[in-house]
Amino acid sequence: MLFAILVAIFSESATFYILNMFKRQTKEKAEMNPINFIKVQYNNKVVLPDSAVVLVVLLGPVFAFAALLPICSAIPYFSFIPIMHNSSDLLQISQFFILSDTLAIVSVYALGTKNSEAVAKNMSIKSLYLILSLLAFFTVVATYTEFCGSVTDVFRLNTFTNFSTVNTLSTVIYVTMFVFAFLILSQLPHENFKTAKYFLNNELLTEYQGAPRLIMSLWSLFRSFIIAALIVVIISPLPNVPATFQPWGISWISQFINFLFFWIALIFTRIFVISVSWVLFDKVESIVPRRLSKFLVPILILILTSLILIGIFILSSDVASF
Amino acid sequence: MVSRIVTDYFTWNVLAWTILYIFTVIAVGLVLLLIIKNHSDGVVYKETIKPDFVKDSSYDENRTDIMIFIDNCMDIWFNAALSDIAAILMLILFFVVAVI
Repeated sequence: MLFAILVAIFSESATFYILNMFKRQTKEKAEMNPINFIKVQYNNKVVLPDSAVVLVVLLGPVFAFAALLPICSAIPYFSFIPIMHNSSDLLQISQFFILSDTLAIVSVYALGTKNSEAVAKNMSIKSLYLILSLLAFFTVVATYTEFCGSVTDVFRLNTFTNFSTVNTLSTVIYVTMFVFAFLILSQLPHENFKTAKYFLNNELLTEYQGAPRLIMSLWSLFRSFIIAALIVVIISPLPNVPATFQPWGISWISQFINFLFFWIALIFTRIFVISVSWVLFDKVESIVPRRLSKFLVPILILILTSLILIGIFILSSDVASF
Repeated sequence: MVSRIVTDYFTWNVLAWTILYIFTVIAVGLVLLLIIKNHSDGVVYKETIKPDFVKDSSYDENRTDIMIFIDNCMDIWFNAALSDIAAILMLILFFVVAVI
């Protein structure tokens, strides 16, 4: 898991390095590397506003970050120790995300300043949208596999991959899954392209300094990395990705290839796919009317869920005609 | 104590997840304590913060009747303190109801 955290920091740093390369070409102001922000927070003294509830502000990030680690242990290749035997259920993962986000928001609220309240409010709306997108994605995958296949445990991480290897998927389903993935990835870490750093940005929430802010920055960074990992695992084309730490008799070469594929795909997703998703989402947001753009995420969730239902109807009508 | 929740759709080993979570909290808490001890002399400093002006981005001079209705009748609920956390807690409640 420490390896996963290190890779998350590396890929975040690499993302900003590449973004800065593009910015230098267009002569825009370069962003500071997130690693430098983390170093600054590590060396800073713990300074909190007078109005802060100290215990909540100090321990909130700890509990929020800790809630990510059980999720981590459920993802293949994040841990080689079989801690969880039946851990790959998407609903439990969602529960821990909700727990983690709520604790992080509460700790920002606990600072008690006007600025922190505004930040927490914005954070909670974004978290709600992201969790709704994740839950909708997991549920449509489960509904589709249950309706169109003979899978018993539909909320497993590898259900969709295994299902797609033995069944032919309609184009509607393929397209919807990828658009769903784009929608989720475009909301990471918390905002869009312009404010992508969020908790790694020291100019935001200047009243929150020191060790708890460091944990909070790591939480923000690692949370987005885990969500990207979940998307990679769910729509990964490799059928052999084990979901229960019990690779069913596949050779060590296959496991090694899977391992390499997983991490390369994950780093690629963090560096390129998420950045492209931000730009695409901004474009879509600029097209729709301003009032409507505030509710773009719920509207897209509704449209995509409907598309999956249409896909199910098409497939069931095909089966009926056959 | 319920250590395992089994439904038609999933099995949740609650005990394993809880133990892992508590161990992680202890580990991260120790790291936090060590950092505070080494870099902040084990002390949490407090400072007085002047209230900042927070710009309301949703304000628009050319508001239509629908916008006024949304602002006066709907946004007051959405803008209420902790209403968003309440919404997240509602998701937990839905899950509990689904499990029961």
